[in-house]
Amino acid sequence: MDWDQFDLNPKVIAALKKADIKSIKEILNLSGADLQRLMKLSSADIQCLLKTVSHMLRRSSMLTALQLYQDKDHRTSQHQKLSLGCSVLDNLLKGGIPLVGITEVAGESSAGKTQISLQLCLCVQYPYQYGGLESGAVYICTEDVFPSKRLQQLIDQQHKLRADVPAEVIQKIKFGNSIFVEHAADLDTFHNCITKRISLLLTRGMVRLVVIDSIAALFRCEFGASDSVTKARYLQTFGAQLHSLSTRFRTPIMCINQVTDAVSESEATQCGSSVVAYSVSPALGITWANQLLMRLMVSRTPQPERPPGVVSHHTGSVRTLRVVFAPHLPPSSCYYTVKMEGVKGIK
Amino acid sequence: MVVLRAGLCPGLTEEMIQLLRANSIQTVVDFVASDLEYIAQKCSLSYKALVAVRRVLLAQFSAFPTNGADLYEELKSSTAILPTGSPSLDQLLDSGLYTGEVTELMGAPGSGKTQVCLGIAASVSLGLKQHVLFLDSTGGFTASRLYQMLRAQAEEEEEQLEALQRIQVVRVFDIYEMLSALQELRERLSQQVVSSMDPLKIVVIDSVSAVIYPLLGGKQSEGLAIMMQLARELKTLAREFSLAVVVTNQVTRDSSSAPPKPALGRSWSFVPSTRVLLESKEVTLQKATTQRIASLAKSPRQPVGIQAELDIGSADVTPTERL
Amino acid sequence: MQRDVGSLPLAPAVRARLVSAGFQSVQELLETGPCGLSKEIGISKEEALEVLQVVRQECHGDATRTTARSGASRKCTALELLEEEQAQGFIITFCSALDNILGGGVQLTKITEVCGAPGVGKTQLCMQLAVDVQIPECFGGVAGEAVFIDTEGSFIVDRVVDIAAACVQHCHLIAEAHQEEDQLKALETFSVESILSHIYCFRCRDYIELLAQVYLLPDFLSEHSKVRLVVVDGIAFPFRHEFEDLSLRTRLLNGLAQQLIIVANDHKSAVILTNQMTTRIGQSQSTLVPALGESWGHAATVRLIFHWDNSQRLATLYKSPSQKESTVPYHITVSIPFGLEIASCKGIFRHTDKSVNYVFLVLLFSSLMNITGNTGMSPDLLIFCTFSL
Repeated sequence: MDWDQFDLNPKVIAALKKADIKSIKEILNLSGADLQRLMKLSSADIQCLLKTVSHMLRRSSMLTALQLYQDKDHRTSQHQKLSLGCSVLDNLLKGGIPLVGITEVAGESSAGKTQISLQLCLCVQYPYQYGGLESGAVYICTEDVFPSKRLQQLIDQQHKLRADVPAEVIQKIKFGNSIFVEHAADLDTFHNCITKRISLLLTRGMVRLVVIDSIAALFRCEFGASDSVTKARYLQTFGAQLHSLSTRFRTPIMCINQVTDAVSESEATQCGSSVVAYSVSPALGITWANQLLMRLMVSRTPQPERPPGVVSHHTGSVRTLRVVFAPHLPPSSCYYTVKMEGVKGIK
Repeated sequence: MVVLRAGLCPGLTEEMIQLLRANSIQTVVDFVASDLEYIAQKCSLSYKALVAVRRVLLAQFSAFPTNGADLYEELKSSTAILPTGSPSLDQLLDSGLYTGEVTELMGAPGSGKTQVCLGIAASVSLGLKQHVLFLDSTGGFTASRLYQMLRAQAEEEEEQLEALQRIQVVRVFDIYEMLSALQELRERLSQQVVSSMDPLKIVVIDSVSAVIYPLLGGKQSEGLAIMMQLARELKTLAREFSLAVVVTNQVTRDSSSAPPKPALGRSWSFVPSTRVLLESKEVTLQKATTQRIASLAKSPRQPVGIQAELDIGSADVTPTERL
Repeated sequence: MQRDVGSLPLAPAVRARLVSAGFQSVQELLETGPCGLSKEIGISKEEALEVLQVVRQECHGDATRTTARSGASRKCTALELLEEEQAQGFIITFCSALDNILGGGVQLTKITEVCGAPGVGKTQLCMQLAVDVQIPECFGGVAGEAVFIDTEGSFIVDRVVDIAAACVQHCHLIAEAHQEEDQLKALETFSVESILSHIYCFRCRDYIELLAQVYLLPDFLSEHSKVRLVVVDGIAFPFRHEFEDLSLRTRLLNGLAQQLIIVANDHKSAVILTNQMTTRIGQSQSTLVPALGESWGHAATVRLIFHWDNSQRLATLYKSPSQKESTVPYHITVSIPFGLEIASCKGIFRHTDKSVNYVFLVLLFSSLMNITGNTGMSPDLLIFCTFSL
């Protein structure tokens, strides 16, 4: 760090260099008294130094809520969301997935988690006016192989799913070319993957969506019940790294999570599932839940009375998508089905 | 370590000091400790004058010996025992807070340290009609709660308001502010600005760890030095002006299941002569109670480990039953 | 004048030299003068002059210093404090039960910490308070502004718009019922836009930025003197990773807490912090406790813990200097979180005239019926509200 650029008393700059302080972080990590001793300066000088470096770090990041609200620029606006490709589901989520933050979809196997995330990988490639982000997606598999067959099927059926988009627009997009698939079966590979490869892809602007399928699988095999502290530390580190990627590149992070049978009622309530009737809770406990912006749960509805208006020629059973928590949404839910052309909500 | 200055004692002239200084004798200690014959020779000063000066200086700066009986008499006349407002806590402390001593209240968050402090302030101000100095470093001082306590103890509104007026609150949020507040107090007391009819008897500091914690840790030892400075200041204040000093401290644990121990480490542990640990009766999130257990962790008079029960929830800190 | 040299805020090296040269009190320093001082302890004349300036400022400046610090005198009697406390009012949460256990709402000049599992409504409460702090004085509010420091990216402006709209509508209903001049006048400027433009948002990505932000807060607050609420949502997230050295974390957190207390005290504003929950593994069973360790628990003056009990949200007041510990249920509804309960209006309406209250009640009742129709809020709750007014 070049201290000479700072608007500081030359005496202070000299002291900084002499004390071998290299970064702003180092300065802020030291207490005032320690800084005084280290740099041999009086407390008034230290106060001034702290103020100056803080200004350097913060520059002008203040925005009023009104500015945030009226921001129409799709690169910074909070209104910009990633559509799920279905108006009913988008309505449930008030426009789609928020761009900054980690969104989790949890559910039992075959509830439709992978279907939703595959659909998102396609939706992200649409132009802005159709709810996309005009960029590709990266899909990190930790457990199963990537369902490429299903993806191909979805790509072929896009014109059916997205009737709102003109056919020539859909034809122009080469869906398959901008979905990057990564495999990471253990923690180290995964760590490497998110810190190096994904951030490279994001820096180049090649992707605007990260899907992790699934986060729990990484932890299930390697940790027993006794290593809860190490496990918690890994979860916190990953959470923070994903969070910072998401913030830096305004890229939604979609994590798929499994569910476990709730051991006790209290554990289910810890994780924010308010309804007692659901006897399952998302895996990885409260440490992971703390990292999330939004948690969705999907489940198969045990064959309910078929809502009127749904033609029963298709085999797709009715499933539920439920908002467990989100800062901007009330707890709510809607039904959806998985069909040949993709995931669709039912009014 | 007083610097030699002209006028410090008769016979010590400016000229003499210059000469001494040239021989690197600057302070009284240097002077007294040095070999006078050698100095007389080196500075060409009269040996007799030097001896005379030394005798005066020794008389001026050495400690005055007192015998135990005198000390005891003096102690009896100067020591007061202040009630805490809670009979069970008084009993635990051997009838109350002793002046000239530092008493520490420690406990986990929400264990009632501030409540006990407010109770003490209320009882001393209302019951004894004494002034109270309350140094608040956490913003926990809540006057409405204090008023509530006073109202439970006194009927007359006049009396309550007077009691409130006798409690002086200083909000100090870093260690330097705290030190300068104490310094100011010392000046005030030594100049007897406080009128003689209502002298100050007690200083409450809530909390001492809040201002020290931001300085401790790391490779530098500056924080420790300042902490010891504060410790010395408190001790001397308590001694010299026979004040009761009450401080609050946090507790830490070595591991999540270990018993609580006072924060601020070993060097601080010598500062308070009496330590009281406050604990909730049962610690659960769902059920909050107002019952607290106070146990003695250090005391010069009482056996360590005895306990008393407090109820901090009601109008004032009152006892329930003694264990 | 008898002040000890060791307690002066000087550079430690200079202080050590002063002490070893035999200086004990400030008096001696002042008598020596800059030239003498520089000779005695071997520092340059400029440095000596600086030392003496600091000394003078410390000794004579006690009165001037407190005024220099944004006018908030820190020394007063308990009586003055009581009067101050009674005059300053609260930020109401719009939930009567929550207001009750807090003793009327969120207190100004204090730090309140809100702990809870994800999704329990911490951010909701923060956003609600950021709006509520702006309620005009004639409606029983404090007519302030809010600073929102967001570390988790959970400040969603759309939600704030909903809350603000509901709040404005609420005030309109009140004004219609009362037909009071000052209320109607205040409403002319009290709109969703004005509410939004008085919430200042800061986004902090890591703890270093948060520290820097808090260093700069006093300056920002002196420029925006109407700010009565500072929200840090959440304090735990940036401090729960990349910390190998836990003592460093403790020190930084405690320093942060002290700075926030200074902010709260000097600018007469409330500080709200949100904290996560974590599992503490005990000997027999594991329990949920607020994160960041035990020593952090001392930082906040008031601590609220939100938790689930079956499907009900409960709020427990865990620590407070003035209120009894207690637990109450609360609700998050669609239009206003924490329940649009009529009972919460008790704080706003201290009207003695029963008929005015009655007219108002009917008005509110009809609007509430709409809400219950939309959200499925139980009619029981309504009846409860009506009775408690």
